[in-house]
Amino acid sequence: MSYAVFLYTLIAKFSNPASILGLLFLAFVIPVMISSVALDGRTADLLLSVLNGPTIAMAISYSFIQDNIANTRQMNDGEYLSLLFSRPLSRAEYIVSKWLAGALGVFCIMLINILVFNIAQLIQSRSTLLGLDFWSISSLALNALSYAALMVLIRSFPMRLGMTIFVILLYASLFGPALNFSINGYESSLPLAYYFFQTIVFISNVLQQFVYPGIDLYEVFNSTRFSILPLVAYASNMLLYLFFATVLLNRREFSYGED
Amino acid sequence: MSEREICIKIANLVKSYGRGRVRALDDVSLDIYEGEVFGLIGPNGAGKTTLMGCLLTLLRPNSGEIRIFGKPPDDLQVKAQSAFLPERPNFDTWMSGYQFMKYQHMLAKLPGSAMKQDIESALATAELDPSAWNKRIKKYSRGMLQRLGLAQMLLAKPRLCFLDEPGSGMDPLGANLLRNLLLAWKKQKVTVVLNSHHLDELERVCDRVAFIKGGRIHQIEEMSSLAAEQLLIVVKCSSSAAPPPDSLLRELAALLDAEFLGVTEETIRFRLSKTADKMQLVRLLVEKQVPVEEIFQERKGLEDIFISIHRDGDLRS
Repeated sequence: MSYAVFLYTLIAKFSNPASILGLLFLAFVIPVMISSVALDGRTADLLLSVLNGPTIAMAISYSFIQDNIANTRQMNDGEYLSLLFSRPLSRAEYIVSKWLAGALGVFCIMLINILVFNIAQLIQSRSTLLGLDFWSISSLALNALSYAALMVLIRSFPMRLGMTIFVILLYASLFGPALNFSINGYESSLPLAYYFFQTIVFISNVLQQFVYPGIDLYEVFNSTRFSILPLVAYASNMLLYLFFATVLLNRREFSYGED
Repeated sequence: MSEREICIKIANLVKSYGRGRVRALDDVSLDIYEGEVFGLIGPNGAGKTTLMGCLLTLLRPNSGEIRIFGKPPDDLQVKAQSAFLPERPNFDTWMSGYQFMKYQHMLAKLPGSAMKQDIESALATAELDPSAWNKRIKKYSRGMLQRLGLAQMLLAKPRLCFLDEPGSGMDPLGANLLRNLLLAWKKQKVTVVLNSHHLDELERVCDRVAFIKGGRIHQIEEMSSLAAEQLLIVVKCSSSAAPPPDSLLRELAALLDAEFLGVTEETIRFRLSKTADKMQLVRLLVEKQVPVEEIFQERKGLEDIFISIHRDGDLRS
C-alpha cells in the first residue's frame, strides 16, 4: 500500500467546501431526517435499510474515491496520473491504497451516521435504536471494505460508464425495497404495472444478492445452522472487484500530452 | 561512445494506435548512454511523446523491448531512480506547492526524516519564490508551475531524467535556470532524455540528438561532430578579379592540414582541422593574393538539419 496515496485521498476529500458539505449531508442530515419520522413497522424497515444498507455506503465510498482512477487532470477533478505512475508506485498498490482510504471514509461516516441517528432518537425519547455492539461495528467495518472495493472497480471504468453503473446500483438499492412495500395488493387492480414493478424488484434483489457485497456477521455466526457461504461470497466478491480494478488500471494507457 | 555503459536500450519498438492503422513508433531501436543528455527532435505528431510515454510505461508498446539500467522500464527500482517533467504541469490544484512537494516526496518513498530539507532545497534550487510555497497551485502562473515541476524532479536526486518541452511557458530567467540545471545534471553524469522544440537549447546542452520522422529515428547527430562541422570557412572573392586556380587552393589547404572543399562561382570553401588555423588561412590567402572580399564561418546547426530533413519530405510521413 502507498501511504501517500492513502493519506492524500483522505485529505483531498476535505479540500473544498462542496465535498465537506456533501459528507455532512450524508453523515448528519439524512440520519436526523430519518429519526424525525415516526418509525413504525414497515416505515422503520424501509428507512433503516436506507441508513444501514448499500445506498449511503455506496454514495460515501463513491465520493471518497472521486479522485478518479479513470480520469486524469483533463477532467479537472482527477489526479495527474501520468506523473503519479512515473513514481515508484505499482498500479496494484494504487488500487489498494484507494480502496483502504475509501473504506476508512465509509466506516467513519457510517459510524457517525448511526451515532447521530441514535442520539436524535434518544433526544426525542424514541426507542428505535441502531445497534452499536461488536457484531454491528464489525459488520460495518467489513461492509465499508466491500463497498469501497465495489466503488474502486466502478471508478476504474471510463467515467461515463462508471457513473451510469453507479446510478443504476443506487437506484436499485433505493427503488427495490421501496417498490417491494408499495406494490403489495395491486396485483388485481393494476396487473401490468404490478408485473413491471415486480421485475424491478427482482432485478434489485439480484443485485442485492450478487453485486452488493454486504454481510451481517451477527446473522452468520448466530443463526441456527452456521454456513461459511456468506463469508466466502463476501470475500470472493470483494477480491474480484479489486482484481478487476487492478486489471483495468493495468490495461490503461496515459497519453500525458493530452492530460 | 560505444564503450560507455548503456542506460536505455530500445530495440525494435513499435507502437500503433487505432487498431494498427496509425504507427506512432515504427521499429525504433536506440541506445542512450549513461550520463549523456539526449535530445529528441521532430515536429508535432512525429512520435517523440509516444516514445517518452513508452519509456515511462504510461503507454504499452505493441512489440519491441525497452531496458533501463538493464531492467524492464516498469521495475520500481528503475522508477525510484528516474524523474519526469511532463509537458503540461497540470498538478492537483487543491494543494499548495509545498503540500504537492510533500506528496511527491512520499510517493518517491524517500525517508521522511529528510523531507523538510529535501523539499526546501529542491524548491530553492528551482528558484520558486518562498512566498508562493504555501499558495494553492491553482493560483500559480505557467512559469511557476514549470518551476514546481522542476522542483519535484530534484527530490529523488535522480540518475535518469525525462523532460518533455521543459522550456515552454518559461520566462528568460526560467529558461536560464533550466539550462543551468541541465548543465549541472550533465556534470553529475545524470542521464537526461529531453524533448524540445527549442533547437538552440538542445544544441547548447545535448550530447546527441535524434531526429524522429514518421515514428522512425531518421538521423542521430553527435553534437561534437556537429561542432567539428562548424569549422567550415567560406571565402568570397571579388567578382572583378580572376578566380584563383584550384591547385593553389589545394596547396594552401595542405599547408594548414585543412580540406579544400571546392569553388562555386566566387565562393571557396575550406574545412579546417582546428580553430586556430582561421587566422593562418586569412594570412595565407592575402599572401597568395587571392582577391578576398569577405571571409566567414558557416554555421550548421540543428535547425539547418531539421529544415533539410523537413525539405526532403514531411517529417511526419
